[in-house]
Amino acid sequence: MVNLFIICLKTVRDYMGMKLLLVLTVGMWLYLFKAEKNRTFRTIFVYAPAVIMLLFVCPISYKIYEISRLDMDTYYRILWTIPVAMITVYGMVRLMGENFKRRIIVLIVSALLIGVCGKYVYASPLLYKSENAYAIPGDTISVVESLREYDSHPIITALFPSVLTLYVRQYDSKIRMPYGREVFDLRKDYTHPVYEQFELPEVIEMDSLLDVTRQFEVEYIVFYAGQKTDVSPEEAGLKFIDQKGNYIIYQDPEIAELIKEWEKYYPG
Amino acid sequence: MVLMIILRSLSLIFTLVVLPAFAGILPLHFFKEKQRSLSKAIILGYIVSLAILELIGIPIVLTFVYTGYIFLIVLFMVLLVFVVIVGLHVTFRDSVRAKKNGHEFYGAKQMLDSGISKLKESSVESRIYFFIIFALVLFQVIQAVRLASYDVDDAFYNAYARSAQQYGTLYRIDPSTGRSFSLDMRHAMALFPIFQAIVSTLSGIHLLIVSHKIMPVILIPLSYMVYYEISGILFKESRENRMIFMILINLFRIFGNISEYTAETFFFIRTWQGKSLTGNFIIPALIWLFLCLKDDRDNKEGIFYWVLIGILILAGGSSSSLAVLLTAMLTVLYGALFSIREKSFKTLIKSVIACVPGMIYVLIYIFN
Repeated sequence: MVNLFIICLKTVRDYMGMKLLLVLTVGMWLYLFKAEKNRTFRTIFVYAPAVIMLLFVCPISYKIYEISRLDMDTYYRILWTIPVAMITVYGMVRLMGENFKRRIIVLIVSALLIGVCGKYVYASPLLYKSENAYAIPGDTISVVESLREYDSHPIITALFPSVLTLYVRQYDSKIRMPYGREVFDLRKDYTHPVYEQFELPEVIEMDSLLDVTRQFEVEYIVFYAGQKTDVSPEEAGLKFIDQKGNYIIYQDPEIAELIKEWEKYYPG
Repeated sequence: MVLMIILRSLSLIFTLVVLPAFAGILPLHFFKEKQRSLSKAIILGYIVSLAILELIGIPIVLTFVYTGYIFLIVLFMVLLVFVVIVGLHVTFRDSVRAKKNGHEFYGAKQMLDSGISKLKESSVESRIYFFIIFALVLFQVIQAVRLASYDVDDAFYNAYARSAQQYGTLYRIDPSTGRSFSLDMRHAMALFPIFQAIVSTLSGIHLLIVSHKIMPVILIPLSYMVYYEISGILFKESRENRMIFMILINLFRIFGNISEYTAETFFFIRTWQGKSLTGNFIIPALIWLFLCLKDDRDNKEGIFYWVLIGILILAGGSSSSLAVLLTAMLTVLYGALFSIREKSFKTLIKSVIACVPGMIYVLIYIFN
């Protein structure tokens, strides 16, 4: 139970990022606790958040969440039910009163405090200038369009470097892949036979790679220009199709032939 | 080409603004005349639209294997248009009655006039604040259009939505590999990605442009509309304080990236995802409805608000299955706290009843 309690506290810590904004919110909550007379506002901004926080750090709640087969990585989302922004800002505005001068001073001080105690979202490394209207890397679009231009089948199976796997099926879901976003899930020790042969070795052994890609009926393999192979893809039997930026597209003629065979039995 | 762009833009405005605003007319009818506003109509319209999507979408997802998507689009649009027609009918009936009784009817024109006159009558200080808010929201919208974000979950939700468009099947194709698999119940009941696919199909604009560029243009102002309505209840006496509240809420969110987990971070980095909708629209809307419920002293039973809360919980299911649990939990908690305050179990009982749509949702989730 103590362990669970510590996990819950750590979750709160991670959620609040140990930034001073937490102090600001707690300060405003204390102010509302002392000063708020409206019973409805007091219930929503003072009592309910306190109860939610108590329930959140209670090991029993954690256990119930776990027993309910909910994803434990989402436990922190219970904290979304505490209207942190509303509590903080409502407290600040309540401090202002009706006097113009005081209002301006509190507004400027509050804005500065939020700026200093918080973290500017547009400075996040997760945000970057969009390359195109689709907001995905332009290479994904050019590689997929190149494949589409070359192959008229509605569904094609291709292997992409993991950087592209995130975007390909968002753009065109009729392209199949042997594996997808799982490779980015750091929480799981992910493994896939194709991934092991394609992404993990410093130098790709083409025979081993083709052994597994053929098991998954992968017709096209897209290499990153910097990827090293023991023999060139052409020597291994692949057919060069196109190069788009840093990505080189090859076709496996063996699988292409197999698909032609299938088409005799399953036309279209 | 130009004609195509105009047609597509009109289609987007119709599906994302006009239709929800009109769908909001029916629930708006239950608010007092002077409390009605266009922002309320849009908020209520989105709540109703998403609830309808869940109501018809879940049975379709569960029963249709191959052609569910087309069937869902048709039925969703028919039901939405039906709600719009009923709303317009009720409004027309009220306007005829008002004329008969010699009253002025409070319709869309009056709402708009009232908003404009409020702005005209407001102090210079208040107007300055209004333009600051406008600039801040516009800044966030421009940033959303200008920037892209790196998010692994996108490969999941957008691939599901794209598969729905391209294969016509709902949640039966592995988003990672593209191969058929059995129904993914964990995500299948949260239909917000499919809502975006519908918008994309109807407008003819690629899903990724809709989700990454168009949806933020709608969802960011929509979220602030909820906060604006909340501020109207919190600061009835002072328009200036209301405006300052809105400025600071904007700033709090822009500087709210204190960790990757906050609703504020989700608001900017994953604006179009259901998770962000939960934290930045559904939960604030629930708080708003509770504030309305307790603020409306002429309507002590508040049946209409409880019905709306029930609809909101169901609408929350479109954003994520967890949203249903969170909103239901919050509803019962508020119900319990208000019951203690009022020394009566009535509110608690009503809050539990309001959770019935959510409970049915959870039962379907568990038994499938």
